[in-house]
Amino acid sequence: MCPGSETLTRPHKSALERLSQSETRKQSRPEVVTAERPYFPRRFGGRERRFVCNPEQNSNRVVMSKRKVKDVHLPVGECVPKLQEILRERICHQQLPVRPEGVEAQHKHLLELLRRTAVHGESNSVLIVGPRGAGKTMLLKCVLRDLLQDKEVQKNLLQVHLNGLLQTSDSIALKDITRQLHLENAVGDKVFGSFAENLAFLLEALKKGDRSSSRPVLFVLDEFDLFAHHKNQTLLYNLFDVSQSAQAPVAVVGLTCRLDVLELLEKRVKSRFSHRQIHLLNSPTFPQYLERVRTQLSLPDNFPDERFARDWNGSVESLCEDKLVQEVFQRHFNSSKDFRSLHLLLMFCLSRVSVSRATLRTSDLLEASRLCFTDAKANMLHGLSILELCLVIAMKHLNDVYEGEPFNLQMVHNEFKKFLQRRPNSVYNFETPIIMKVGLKRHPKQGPGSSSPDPFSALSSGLRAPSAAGTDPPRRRPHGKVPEGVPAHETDAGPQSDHGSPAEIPTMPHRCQTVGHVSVWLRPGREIPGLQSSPLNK
Amino acid sequence: MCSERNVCVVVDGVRMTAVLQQPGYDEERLRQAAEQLPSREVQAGMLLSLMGEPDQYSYPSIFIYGHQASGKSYVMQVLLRELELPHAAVSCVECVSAALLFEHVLRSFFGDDAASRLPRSPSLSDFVRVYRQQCSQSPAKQTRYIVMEKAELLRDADANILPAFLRLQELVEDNITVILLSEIVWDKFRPNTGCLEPLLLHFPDYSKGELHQILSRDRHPSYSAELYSSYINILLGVFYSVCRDLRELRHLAALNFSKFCEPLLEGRAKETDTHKLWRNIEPHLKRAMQTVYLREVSSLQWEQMQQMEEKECGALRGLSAHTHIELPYYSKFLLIAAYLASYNPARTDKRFFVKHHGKIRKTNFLKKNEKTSNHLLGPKPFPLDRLLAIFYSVVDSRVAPSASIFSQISSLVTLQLLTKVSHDDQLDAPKYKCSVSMDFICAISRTVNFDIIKYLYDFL
Repeated sequence: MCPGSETLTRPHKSALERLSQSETRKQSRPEVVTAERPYFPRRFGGRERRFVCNPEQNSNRVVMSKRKVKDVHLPVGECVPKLQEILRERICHQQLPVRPEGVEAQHKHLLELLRRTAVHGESNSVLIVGPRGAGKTMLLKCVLRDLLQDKEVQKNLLQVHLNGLLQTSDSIALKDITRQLHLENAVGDKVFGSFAENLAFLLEALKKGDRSSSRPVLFVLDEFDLFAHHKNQTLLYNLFDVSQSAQAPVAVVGLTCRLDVLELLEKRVKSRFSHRQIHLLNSPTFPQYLERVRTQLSLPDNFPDERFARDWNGSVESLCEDKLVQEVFQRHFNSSKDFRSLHLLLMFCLSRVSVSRATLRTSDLLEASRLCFTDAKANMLHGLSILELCLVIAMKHLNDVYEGEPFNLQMVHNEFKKFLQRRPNSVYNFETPIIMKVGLKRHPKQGPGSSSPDPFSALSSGLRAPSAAGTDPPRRRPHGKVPEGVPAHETDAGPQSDHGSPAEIPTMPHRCQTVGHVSVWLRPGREIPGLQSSPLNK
Repeated sequence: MCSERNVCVVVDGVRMTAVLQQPGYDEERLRQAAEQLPSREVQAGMLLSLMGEPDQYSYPSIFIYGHQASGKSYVMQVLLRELELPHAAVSCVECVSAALLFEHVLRSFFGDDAASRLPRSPSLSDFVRVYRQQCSQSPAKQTRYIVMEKAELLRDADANILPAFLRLQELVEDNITVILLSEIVWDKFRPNTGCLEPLLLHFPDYSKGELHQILSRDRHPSYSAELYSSYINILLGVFYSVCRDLRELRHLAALNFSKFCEPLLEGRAKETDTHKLWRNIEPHLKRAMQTVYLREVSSLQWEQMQQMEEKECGALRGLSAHTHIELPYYSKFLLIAAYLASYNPARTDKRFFVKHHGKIRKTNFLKKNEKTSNHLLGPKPFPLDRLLAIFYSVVDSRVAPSASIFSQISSLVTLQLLTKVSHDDQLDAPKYKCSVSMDFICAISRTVNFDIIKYLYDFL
């Protein structure tokens, strides 16, 4: 049924064949490669990730495709997957841009700093600080990419990448440092007295045989703030200490989104830090933002089918000119300037591009924007049954009355009963256990289907620790034994003739424990079914 | 949980008109998947288009939220299974420790061998290292998916698990997508310092028509489709306002169907007599409303129990039932005193129990009137001294504080009419709570001619 189904696998295969041909042909004429600018191969590096690994081949292919594929027109069924592949790599995989935009100064600064370590053996420490999605990692990766172009550096520099999310303690971090420096054999079964000794040994082991100088090591600490929470900040202390004293050439680069990160450091650690910080706080202007959209969406010049690429780029161009679209982007720009959230929007747009609709339209963008801006709570409220909605409104009402004071399910139920008295026919009058269960089902912490079938014990276990419920739990009759249909106030009221010994009398202090706060806000314009029929709020 | 899975077991002759379309997947498989996903075509299509072709990169993390039984895990499961994509389905309920989670993921992707490479009590760092090793040996040809059900439990795990899994693609440098399923909105997940924001997708609840369509699928083979469909119609008409949970409705449908068919079996009605059938089932469904969500007994059992009860103790029901408990004279007063101490604020004791309490202006006394009644808030703890003080003032004769009084208190605790709140080592000032209900204490006080209502702050 799907028209593109036959060509699903073919585009890749044909592209592959074409490329392999071009590569084999190219290998006989290597001189073309040298003519390439150094940046060039990288520029298209991400495009064909599966068969292009080293830059040499890459540049071959680029030259070839430029020459040969000039007039090729692929069918749409092949172009669109290609397009998806390129754009997805950009948006989802955070492919590195050719050169960092807007952060040239920082780029230069950092590059210079690291080059000094790598070439001259100078120790350094620096923090890159910026909000999430500001491009800290991108900046660092770009700098490393440029730094490693130098053959000398490439041979000399060692890198250790640590992430605060992964290396949650200093001992794990040290193990990873050992592993990344390939010193497992050197360490062997040695036992070290202290962390510092261990690190010193590692750095010592890196000294070259012929020269007295050590190889420079670059430590990259992602989520730097998390390392500050480690015990005694041993790792940070030792790294900064090494970078201060002339033991070994070490560069420590920390990445963090916390502006107050220095406050987290202990005094002894702070005093060893160079206090060099690179801030990525510059926010783009709207034209820059729009330009970014354009570059993110447009196809590179070397797209196999030139005409398709031209059409596509044209459509992107005209899309960005559209008044409506600009309004949408303006709205996104106003709510968040970081590019990650823009990527979310573009991803939704991109997912709507298919073989049968091979262009980006205004409607796509509007739809994507709608998806990005949907109100999750309103969505969830929409799915509640009328009974549940009534309870939510009762809670909201209680919240207003008591100004944020905690309240319990019993009070909610009471509020609900008051409403029923006022309008007897609007909702069926439910028994207490049902109300309790419905109320509990919607509690975020105590999810439905939890192990306990007893609504009251769920109340006492999952919610705020009750003062009395814990006092006598073993004596309490399991609620399941009570015929459930019997209203709770009767089962819990006291002994009855037919239920055995007094030891079985349930206590019910926990019935009235605090359930919690509810924060509900209803948007006035939105229609929710059942709401108009059952407002507890007058 | 499994009830949701076999939506597809009975497929009626009607073919789905909407077909999933996405290049890169086998068309036949897509059709099969679409067939199993009634009234979730839009969501499935959306997911597929976000996932893209199997060899393309997908977004690092997708967060899907929606109510219980809105088909979140079912859609994910059908898509991944039918399209044969490499995936690991993890239920966060099962993974009580992070180690189990890591092991499960590694085993699903790389086999048992990889999972055994994890050290004892592995850290996230170990997991990422092993994953990278394995991944370099068998690189991904297709996007790998990790589906995590009940993702809200991840918030209770170590603080680094959730942010790390959201950016797993970056950490392991593989084409991997983490899909989180939850009933809670994303706003409640966001860690303090933020994290990589996932794509948010909402699964709306089934509409009434969709519920009808899905429920009609599992009809009884010995009855016609029309009959079952009309039954579902009646069921939805009754329960839809209370319960939109497919799982719960399905349970109710199964419970009550035999009752619905009773007149047919007995030959009192034909399948076409919808009105007669409706009249037969309506009272049962009304009564079944009392057990909706509770699941502990079926409505039929419940009806039987009710009938039994009526026969046995029909006369005893109501207030008079509570007089049945026989307590010693002073115990009754102790209980009354305890009730008063639990439900009256301590500052009002003077007003109630001191004979010449001097001038207390009524306005001042009632001004602090809280908006909530103490009966809604539940019993409050009180010290032993207060209990005894109230006891001496309510009991008619003079009583000496003898051992017999104290032992009666402890036997009331044994009877669970009082609850001890303080810790056991607090011998000199134990605290108690009264744990009997209003009706009960009224009945008790009536036997000793004590008008308790007059002494309760709430009813002043």
